[in-house]
Amino acid sequence: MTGLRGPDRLSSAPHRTRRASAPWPLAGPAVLAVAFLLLPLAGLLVRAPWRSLPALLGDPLVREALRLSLLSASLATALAVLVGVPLAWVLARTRLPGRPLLRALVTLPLVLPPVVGGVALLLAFGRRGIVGRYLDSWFGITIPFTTTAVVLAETFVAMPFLIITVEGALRASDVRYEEASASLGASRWTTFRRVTLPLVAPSVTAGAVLCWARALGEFGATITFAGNFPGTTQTMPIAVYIALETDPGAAIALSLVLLVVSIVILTALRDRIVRSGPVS
Amino acid sequence: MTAGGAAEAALDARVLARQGGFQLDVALAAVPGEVVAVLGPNGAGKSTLLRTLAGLVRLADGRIRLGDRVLDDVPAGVHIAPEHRRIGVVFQDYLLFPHLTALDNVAYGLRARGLRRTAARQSARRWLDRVGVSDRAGSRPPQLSGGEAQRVALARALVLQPDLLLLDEPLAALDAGARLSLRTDLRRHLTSYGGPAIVVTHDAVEAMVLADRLMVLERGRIVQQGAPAEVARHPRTGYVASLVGVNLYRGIARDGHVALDGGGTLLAAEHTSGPVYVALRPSAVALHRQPPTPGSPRNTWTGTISGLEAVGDRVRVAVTGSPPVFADITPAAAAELGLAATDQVWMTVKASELVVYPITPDQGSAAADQGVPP
Amino acid sequence: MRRGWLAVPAVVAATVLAGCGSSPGSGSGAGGAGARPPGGLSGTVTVFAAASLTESFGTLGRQFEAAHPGVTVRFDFAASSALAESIAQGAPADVFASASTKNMDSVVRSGAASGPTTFAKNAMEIAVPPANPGGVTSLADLAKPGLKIALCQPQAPCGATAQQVFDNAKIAVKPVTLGADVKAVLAAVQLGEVDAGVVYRTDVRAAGAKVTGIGIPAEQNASTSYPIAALTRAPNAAAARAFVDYVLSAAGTKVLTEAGFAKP
Repeated sequence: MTGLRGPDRLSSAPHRTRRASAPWPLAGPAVLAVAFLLLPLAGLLVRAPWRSLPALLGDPLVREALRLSLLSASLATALAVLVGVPLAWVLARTRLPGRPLLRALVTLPLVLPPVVGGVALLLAFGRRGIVGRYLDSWFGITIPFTTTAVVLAETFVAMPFLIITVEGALRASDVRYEEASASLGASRWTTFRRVTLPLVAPSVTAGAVLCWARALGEFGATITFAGNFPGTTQTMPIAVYIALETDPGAAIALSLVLLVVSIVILTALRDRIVRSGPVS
Repeated sequence: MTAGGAAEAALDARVLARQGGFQLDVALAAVPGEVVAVLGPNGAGKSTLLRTLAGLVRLADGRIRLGDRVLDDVPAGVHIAPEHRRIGVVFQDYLLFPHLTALDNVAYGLRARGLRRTAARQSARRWLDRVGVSDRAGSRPPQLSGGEAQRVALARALVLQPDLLLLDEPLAALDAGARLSLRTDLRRHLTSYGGPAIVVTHDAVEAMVLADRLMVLERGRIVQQGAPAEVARHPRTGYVASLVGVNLYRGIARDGHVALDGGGTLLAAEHTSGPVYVALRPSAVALHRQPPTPGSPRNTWTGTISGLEAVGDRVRVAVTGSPPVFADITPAAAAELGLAATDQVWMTVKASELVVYPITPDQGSAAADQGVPP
Repeated sequence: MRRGWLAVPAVVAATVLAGCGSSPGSGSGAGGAGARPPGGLSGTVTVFAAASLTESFGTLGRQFEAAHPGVTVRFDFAASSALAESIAQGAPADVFASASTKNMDSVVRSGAASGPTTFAKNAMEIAVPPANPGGVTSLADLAKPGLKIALCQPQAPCGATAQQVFDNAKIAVKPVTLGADVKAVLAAVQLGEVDAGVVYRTDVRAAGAKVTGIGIPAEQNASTSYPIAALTRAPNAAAARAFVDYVLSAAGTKVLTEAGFAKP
C-alpha cells in the first residue's frame, strides 16, 4: 500500500530469517513424497533405450505427435484464457444468483474421469450430439476426430485449473483500485483491462501454466472424443499408449521426450507457478 | 486564480444513506472555489458521505446536483455511475496503481478519455512538476515516500480538471513532519482549483487550515457548520469543544447569570438571556489551594481534582465540581502547589473570559454535553 | 499414544498386502464358495482374451464357474497386441486367448506359453450405424472420399486383418481414427460418430440392433485365427488348463459358433 511507509525508504530492505531445519515429523514424510515422485522418473531414465533414442526421435511419427501435442496444448490454453478469465471475473466480482452452482460446474471436469468427459463431449458435439447435430446438418461441420476436437477435449479438462486460480486472485485483489479507476473516468471495460487484469497477471500466468501442463498430458478425453490418428489427433500421450503394445522402448523414448519438453517449459516458468496473487 | 478548464459548477447535495447501523442525513452545498471541510470522529459517516458524492455508494434517498447536472436523484431513479461524474477523488490510501509509474498513474484518466499516450504523458508531466515530484515520474508507487505519493494522487485527480474535488483524509497517512509541509502545499492547490472541494478529515487543525467552511459531522448528522474560526470560538457540541480544547457548558442565561444544566452558576460579562452555550478556555481558569480572598474574578467555586495530565507544555487538571472544569496551569505551578488527585481546589474565572452564545433551535439536537471529554 | 502411532503404519501395511494381486494358489478373497469341493479346482483364474471374445468368453466363464464352484474366472479383454505386451512385462495371467497367431507366437517365443491350440476363426465385416448415414452398401464404398471410417490400429489383429481385406480388394481406405481395440471401433460406430467401421463378424453379431452389418464377399475377406494357451508361469496352473480344455470342448465350441466364430 502506498504512502503508509512515510519518508523512510529503507523498509524495502529484506529481513534476515532464521533458516530453520525441518522438524522430523515433517522431514520424514517430505522425503517420502520426494521419493515417490522421483522413483518413477528415475525408472524412465534408467530403462531408457539411450542408444536407439536418436533414431526414435528422428521418426516423423514422433515429431508429428510432439508437434501436435505442443500445438494443441497451447491452443487449449489460449482458449481457456479467453473464456476462462471472464468467467473467473463473473464468479469473483458479481453477485449473480446461481454462482455456487456455476462454481460447482467449473470444478466438474476436475472430478470427472477424463474418459467420461470425452463421452460427454461426444454426446454434446458429436454428429448426433445435442449441439453437434446442428453443426453437422446446417454447416456441415463435424468436430470429432479432428484436431479441433483435441483442443476442445484438452480445454475441457484443463480450464478449471485456470478459472480457479484466477478467481482466487481476483477475490484477493483490492476492489478499491477499481473504484479509483472509475473515479478517474475509466469505463468498466477499461478498468478491467488496465487495472484489474494487470494486478492479477501473475495468477493468470500461473493458472495458464497449470492449464497447459494438464492439457499436454490429457489422454482419456482426447482419445474418446478426438480418436487416434497420426498427425491429426495422435498426441504424445496417445502415441505412448499405442507404442507400449508393440515397442516398449519406443514408448519409453516418447515418454522421455515429453518429460524433457515439459520440464524445460515448466522450469522456465517456475516462479510464476508458486507466486500467485496481486502485484505486491 | 483558477486552474483553467474546471467547470464552474456548484454542488448541491441532499444525502440520505444507510451506514452500518445508523443513517447518514446530510444537506451539503459548496460553491466553485470553496473548500468545505467535513470534520468528525471516526464512524461519523464522513467516508460514506464522500463515497455517495463519488457515486460509489447508492443513496437511500435524496439528490445530488453538480451545476446543471443531476448526479443522483432517488425519487426520479437517476444514478450516474462514478466514471461519468467528472469528479476527482484523492483517496485515503491514495490508491495509486502499483503496476504503473507515477507518470502513468497521473496520465491514466487522460488516457481513459481517449487521449494519445504522448499527449497524456505531457499533461501528466506538467502536473507532476506543479506538485513538485517531477523527478519521481518514472518511479512506481511502492518506491515513493508518503508525501510523494500524496502529491501524485492529487495530481492524478486534478489533471482531469474535475467539476468537484473530493479528498478523503488527505494527510492522515503521513507522519507529522510531512503533514506540516504538505498541508501548506495542499492549501495552495485547493486555492488555485476552480471547482468546489470537499475535504473529509478527523484532524481539527487540518480542517481549520484547509477549509473556507467547516461542517461537523457526528453520527450521521451535521451538528455545526460555519467558518472555522467561528466554529472554534463557539463550539456547539462536546466533540467540537474537545477538538478545540475548551470547556463547554449549556444553561439558561438571565441577564448575565447563567444557570448551568449540570449544576452551578457562572457570571458572564454579556447580558444575554435564554438558552445559551458557555465556552471557557482551560487556560483562563485559575486554581487555588485555599479559598481565594475576594478579588476581581466574578466566578469562584470549589471542586476536587480527579486527574492531572500533561498536555503540550501545560498540565491539564480535571476538576469535578459544580460545574466540572478543565484547568491548564504551568508544570511549575502544579509542582509548587503540590497538586494531586482528590485534593480540594478553588477555581476563579473572570466574567470576561466566558464566551456566551445562544443555542439555535435546530442545532441543539445533536448530543451537546457539558465539559471536555478526556 | 505411542502405540497409536505404530498402529497406523501397521494398518496401512496390512491393507497394502491384502490388496496385492492374486496370491499363488489360494483365493485372494475374490468370491467363490467357502468349502473346497472334492477333486478340486479353486481360486481365481485370470484370462487375458482378445476384445472380440468379450461376449463369448463371458458366457464361457459363467458356464465354467457353474461347473466348478470354488473357481472365479477373471477376464481382461483388450487388443491382443496389448495383452501380449502385458504378459511380456510379467502380468500374472493364467490363460491367453489371442485374436491372431502373431501375438501368440511372440508370447510363445518369450517362453511365457507353450503348445497353443487354435480354437476359432473370425472373418471381418463392415459395421454401420442403423441409420447408415454414409450410405455404405459395399466394401468398395469404404474408399469413397468424405466418408468417416474407423479402423483398428494396425498393431491389433483386427487392424492387420482389415488391411488384408483391403489388399485383397485392392482399395485404399483412409480412416479418421484408429481404435485401440475392436470394441473401440464398434463404439464409434454405435455412437454414430463414424459412417462405418471394419470389425469382426462376431462383433456385429454381438452388437445386435445397435449396428447393421454389411458382409464382405468371401473372396475378398480375410480371417484371423484365435489360438489359446495356458501360460507357463500361471499362478493357478490347474484351473488354467481346465479352462483351456473347456474352451476347446464341445460345449465351448457351441458357444463360439453361436457367437459367429468359424471353426478353426
